[in-house]
Amino acid sequence: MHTIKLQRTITVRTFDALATVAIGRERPEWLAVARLAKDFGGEITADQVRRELLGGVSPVAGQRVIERCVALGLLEHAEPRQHSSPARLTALGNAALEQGEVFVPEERLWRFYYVDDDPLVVNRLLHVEPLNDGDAKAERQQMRAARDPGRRDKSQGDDCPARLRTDLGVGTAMASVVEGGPSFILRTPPQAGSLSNEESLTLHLDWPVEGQPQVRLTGQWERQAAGRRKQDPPPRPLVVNRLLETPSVLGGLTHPLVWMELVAYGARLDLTTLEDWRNRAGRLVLPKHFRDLHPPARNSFQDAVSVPEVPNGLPGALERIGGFDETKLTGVEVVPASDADAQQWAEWLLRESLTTYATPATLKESAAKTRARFSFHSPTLPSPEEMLRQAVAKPTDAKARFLLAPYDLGLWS
Amino acid sequence: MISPLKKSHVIENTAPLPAGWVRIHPTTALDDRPAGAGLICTGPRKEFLSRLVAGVDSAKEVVLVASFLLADKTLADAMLRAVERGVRVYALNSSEQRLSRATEADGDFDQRMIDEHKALLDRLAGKVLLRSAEHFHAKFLVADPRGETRGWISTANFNKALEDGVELGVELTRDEARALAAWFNHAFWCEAERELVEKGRLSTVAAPPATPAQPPVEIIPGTGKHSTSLRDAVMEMIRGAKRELLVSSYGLEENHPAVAVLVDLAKHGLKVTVLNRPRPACKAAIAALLAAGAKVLAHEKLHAKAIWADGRGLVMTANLAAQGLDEGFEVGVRLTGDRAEALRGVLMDWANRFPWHFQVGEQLSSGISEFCPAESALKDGVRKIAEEHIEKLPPITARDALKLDDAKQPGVAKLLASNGKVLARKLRVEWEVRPPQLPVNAKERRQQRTVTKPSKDGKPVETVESVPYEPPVYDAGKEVFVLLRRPEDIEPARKLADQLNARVVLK
Repeated sequence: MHTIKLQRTITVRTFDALATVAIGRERPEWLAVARLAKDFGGEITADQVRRELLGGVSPVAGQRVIERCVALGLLEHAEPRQHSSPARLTALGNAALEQGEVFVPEERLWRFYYVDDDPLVVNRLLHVEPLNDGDAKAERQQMRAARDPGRRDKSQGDDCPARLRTDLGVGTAMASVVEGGPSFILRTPPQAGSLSNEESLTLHLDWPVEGQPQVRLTGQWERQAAGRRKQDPPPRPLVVNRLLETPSVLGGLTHPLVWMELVAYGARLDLTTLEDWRNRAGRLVLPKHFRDLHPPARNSFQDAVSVPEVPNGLPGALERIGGFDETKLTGVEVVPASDADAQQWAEWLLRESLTTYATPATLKESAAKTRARFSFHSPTLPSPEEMLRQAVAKPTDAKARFLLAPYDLGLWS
Repeated sequence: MISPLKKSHVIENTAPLPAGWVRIHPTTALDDRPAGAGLICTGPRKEFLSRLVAGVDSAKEVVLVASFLLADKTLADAMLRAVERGVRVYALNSSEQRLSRATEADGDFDQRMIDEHKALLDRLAGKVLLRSAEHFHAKFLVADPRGETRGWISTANFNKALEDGVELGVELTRDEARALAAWFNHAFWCEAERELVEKGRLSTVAAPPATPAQPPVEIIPGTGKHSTSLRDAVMEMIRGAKRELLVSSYGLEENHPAVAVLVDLAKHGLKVTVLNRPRPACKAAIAALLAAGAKVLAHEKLHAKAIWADGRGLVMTANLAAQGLDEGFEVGVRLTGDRAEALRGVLMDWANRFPWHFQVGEQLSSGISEFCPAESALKDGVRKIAEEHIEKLPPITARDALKLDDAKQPGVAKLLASNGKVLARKLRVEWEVRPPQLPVNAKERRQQRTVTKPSKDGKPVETVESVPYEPPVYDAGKEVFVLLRRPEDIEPARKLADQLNARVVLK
């Protein structure tokens, strides 16, 4: 039994809007202040900053440093409106220390990449990127110029999509799913902007036998060239390959449950049958009729189960995690569905084991090994003499010589 | 003027022939009627082949066939018929590598035989279970080793040799045939190297799932990787001979102990007759046997391997050579009583009728018609003995043009001692005697003669003057020559030569 591998295509939308977004940047000088605050128990004064970090310059300099850290959100005044009061390390300051980056806010035109709706994507805002090098005012004008002339309120543009508005996670540090993408914090959410193209990504759900399920997004976005000057090189596509936060919806599921749902769906079996066999075998197995198995599966007792496309809303455990593309479950342990299947299967295996010249002793050994492979049935295998009789009756059979030659040429007794 | 004189002389060719094969009888078809007691000779009546085919045709369960080469269509047809009846047919034969080497080493072994062999294997592939090894050389057939067992040992490969070879077959007793089947089993499982799995494809043989029983060598002696009981049986028979030994073998190796003992026994006066096929490969052994006093006879098609010694016989598949007796897979059957007597009858008949006799120093005058030097193969070495051979000798020059008959006769001793190159009972030598020529450096001799001539005053005066001889005379070194220029000068020249002790020559 191998890892369950499922995937589906998800739609990513973009929304271009003015907003203040803090982008994680390497700013060791401000991190040093946050570190100092943490070292002093979460609070520092301007004097402490002056002494510890600025080499004893004037107290005003220490106060200015603290004010800048407050502006960056790393610190906050212990007593609001009293700039001379000690400053406290904020949650954002702690996050900055953990990530080694300082989130520097920028107010400008941003493009927000977000997932409209998917039960396996926890953070729907996947990525942000600045749209142009101009200042915010110029960008606003540009946005207005590009606005749909038929809209009722021309001064506001498109409303921020509801899904984006409710799940933005304002003030929370987030990581872009784009390779090399920044960490960012949305400081002020977008209100109005411009809806643009839809893109696709592949969502993978890999569920190992031993271990936790993993959700990953992969794919590539071709970036639009809007606002690009002629001399600029074409924008490089954004490459996505990021493991996502495990969604809580998976918490109620288990690997065996998902496996059985998929196998039942793929093999057109009752879930009850699989559950009965799981109870009987103590592990996940798939009962199969001998005639339905190809030779490698008969030999290995393992098969691959093809699962057709799982539609959204399929009743059962899968309903909660959505639909998936068609897939194949490999390494599925198969067992005979009935005693008759086991009998045919064992006889077939014994015959297959006859790949070279045999004696009664080697045949008995092969038969014992073959029988031992059937834990849930007791097939009866022919004796060496019975096998010999069959070979004598059909001497031109491809396997007959392996019995007849030892019998005819002095190895049988 | 003086024509060359043609002369000839006939002499009896008494020069001894070198070591080689002398024809003493014409080659005729040998009698291949059964010799009795289960002994059968091969031959145009195909008696032995018929028995083999009948054996296969009557088999109910199993047929075992072993042959260095397998190319007889009739027998192959019978094997395939047996397969169609549900009979299991197993075969052993030599590997392709060995066959290729045999072609290179043995002039009597041609590519056509191998091609026929391969073609037949293609026919049998997938129907007959066939294994091969480099050292497989035994030839035999056993039908139904478990039931009504019958078997034959053959000195002939199962190819055209069954019809045109000088070979032997022995019909075996049931015990012998079963012992032979045990030899087959052992070779199949323990000595085979390759197995024919399909047309043109041989796979390497894996270890057997069990070890077969050792063959009963006291019933059928054999040589294989685990046993040299056939060699032991041969040595015991030869060493034990007290009165007479008859040996037939296609191959004879001078250095093999069996041949060495034969030579030794012949030297000590035992009557030893060896039957062989004239081949350069056997030259040294044959010469040693002849020198020791053995009688050596041969036939162009002899391939049988058998020994008869003082009432005991052995027919086998091995030559008296290491590759057979020491290293091959070979079998033999001991013959006693009537069977041995039948073998003696056959071997004696062959000895009386075989066309070739090995001789050293045979006289051509003894009436022989053909000869093949020991170092040549019969197919390209046989030479007819002519009644008369004319040998044209180089011309000789007489000392005197008027005495051609007196010229010395040329020597023929060298010709007669030319190591058998002149194969005629009479030798006619012809030569030409030519008159001698005046040497190029000869200077004419003049004679002093007194002549009387009138002087100025008219009185006769005697004077001496130098004048040439008539016919002219020349000197060259210490020899004096009279030059003959015209037929009418013959008599004057003869007289002048006598007078001057000179030789008459021409220019």
